[in-house]
Amino acid sequence: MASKQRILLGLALSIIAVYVIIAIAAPLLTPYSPMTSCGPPLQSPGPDHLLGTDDLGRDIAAELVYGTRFALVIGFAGAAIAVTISATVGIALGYTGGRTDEVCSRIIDVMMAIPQFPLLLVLTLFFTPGLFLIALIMGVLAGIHGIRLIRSQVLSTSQAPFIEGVRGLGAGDGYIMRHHILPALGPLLSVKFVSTAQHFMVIGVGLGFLGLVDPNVTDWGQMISRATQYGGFSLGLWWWLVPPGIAITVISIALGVLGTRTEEANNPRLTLARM
Amino acid sequence: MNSELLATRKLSIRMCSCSGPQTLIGPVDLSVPEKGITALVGESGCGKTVVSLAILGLLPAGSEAKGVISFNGTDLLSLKEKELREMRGKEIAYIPQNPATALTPVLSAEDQIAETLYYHEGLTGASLHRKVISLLESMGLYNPEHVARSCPHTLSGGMRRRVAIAAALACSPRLIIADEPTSGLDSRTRKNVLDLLGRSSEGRAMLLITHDLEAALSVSDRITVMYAGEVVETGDIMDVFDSPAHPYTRALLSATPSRGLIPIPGNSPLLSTIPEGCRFAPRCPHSTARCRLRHPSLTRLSGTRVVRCDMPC
Repeated sequence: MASKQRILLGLALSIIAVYVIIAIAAPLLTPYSPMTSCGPPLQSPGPDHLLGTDDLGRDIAAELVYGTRFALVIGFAGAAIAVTISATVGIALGYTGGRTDEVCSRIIDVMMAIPQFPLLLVLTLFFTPGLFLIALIMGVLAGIHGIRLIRSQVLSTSQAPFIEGVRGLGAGDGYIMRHHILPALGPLLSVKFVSTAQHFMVIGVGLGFLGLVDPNVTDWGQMISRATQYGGFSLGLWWWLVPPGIAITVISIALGVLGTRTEEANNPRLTLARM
Repeated sequence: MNSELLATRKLSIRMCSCSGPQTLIGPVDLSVPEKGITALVGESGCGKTVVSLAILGLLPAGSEAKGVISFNGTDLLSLKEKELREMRGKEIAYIPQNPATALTPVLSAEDQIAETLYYHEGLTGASLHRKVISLLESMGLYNPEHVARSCPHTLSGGMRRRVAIAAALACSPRLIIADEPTSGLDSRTRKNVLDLLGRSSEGRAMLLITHDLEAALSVSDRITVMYAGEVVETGDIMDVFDSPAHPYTRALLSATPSRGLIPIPGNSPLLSTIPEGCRFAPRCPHSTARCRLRHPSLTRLSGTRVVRCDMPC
């Protein structure tokens, strides 16, 4: 990997690490609660409130810091659920094959014909979900879509000579799926995890902006929505509107870089093509 | 006395072909003594690998083996999958064809050898590591600790082949099935691997599947020749090489570099379109009208020497 690429990767990992630390240490970083009023409304940035206050007198910096938790949980927990479902069902169907695979694949085809984002909107409207329920819904929907990709990869991997060799030495189907096929899918799953996490974080902000997230949860989407509706935009209060936008943009770019580097590390031909 | 460890009797294998399921392989009568190497030779596509997969109970889905596969007195075709699995690796081990793809690409050599020992013998920790290293040492690998930590793509073809052999030998099986162990190797590595196979087969049985007759001659004690899905000749290796009885065996030997590289005229028939009568008749220089009508059965010439030809050479 060229030194420029290494620096980029290091930068991306550092940014992600900083976000994780902020999310974990949120109560230590700000003395204010993001949900309670702690000063006059629409205050400009100052020593008491680094990014001022919103229309309800809540500390914007506290909202920004606590909003990191929502973005990371939606992204990483949702992606973990999606990848787990895709890997488990995809490996089982691809390896087992036969009639079960045929029937399940047709069911998945039907489910894939339903557009994912409108379905997500309907489900979130129906449940008015909190943090973990949104991650679960998004994870399940994306997981179903990912099954096809994993299944097709497993179909070719399970025919590889090394699988025949392992079976010839006495390994059972469960063992082969866990110890030989799953590790062989590691590169694909890692790329899928990073790209899904990035996608989910952006979608999470979108859902918040549309008001489809539990209002008792602090998230960047709701911050941007409130800022546009209650004077942040018209009064030029950029410190209310811009920071959450920058926050999601930076983590999204960092995950994008990490995803690209992960893909290149697993497929060196991509690096050669770019050189 | 070297008694029989593995024997197939009238083994036939029904598989899916372009024109639906049909019996493509058989009858195969194969005998492997409990010590020494038995070579199973024939052109590519004659069914050698399928026979080995049938012995292991690893035929592809939709295939069915009929007849008897007797291993140490047990009919393998009557065993359940769980019983077969217990036997694979411990009693019968398999070395797959291609050294480049025979090992899982993302696992280290140690992991791949160790799993057989863990699975069948329950070894763990330091004793497992020591056993893996001693196995790699016995394969003649320089710096076995380094090889143990390496993933297959960092190893040469010969080293990968040795790792695959080490994995097969891990539980000291009574029978090793080595499928084309020298394919894709240069002449020096090929010789080293053959020497290693010769040493590894001491005190146990090995079925060496190959189309490399000279490799078979250099290590084997017995030979079985297959053509178009059936056995055409069996005997002690020197007897068969010195005086081949079947015209196909004779033609196969003439096609080796040491005997002039004379090609066999025509092509091997597709297993799904087997001709009536003798399967080799269309390519046989000695065939008669009778050969094209009547399918010959195996005839015992002497002792363990059998041939499927009405007019042996």
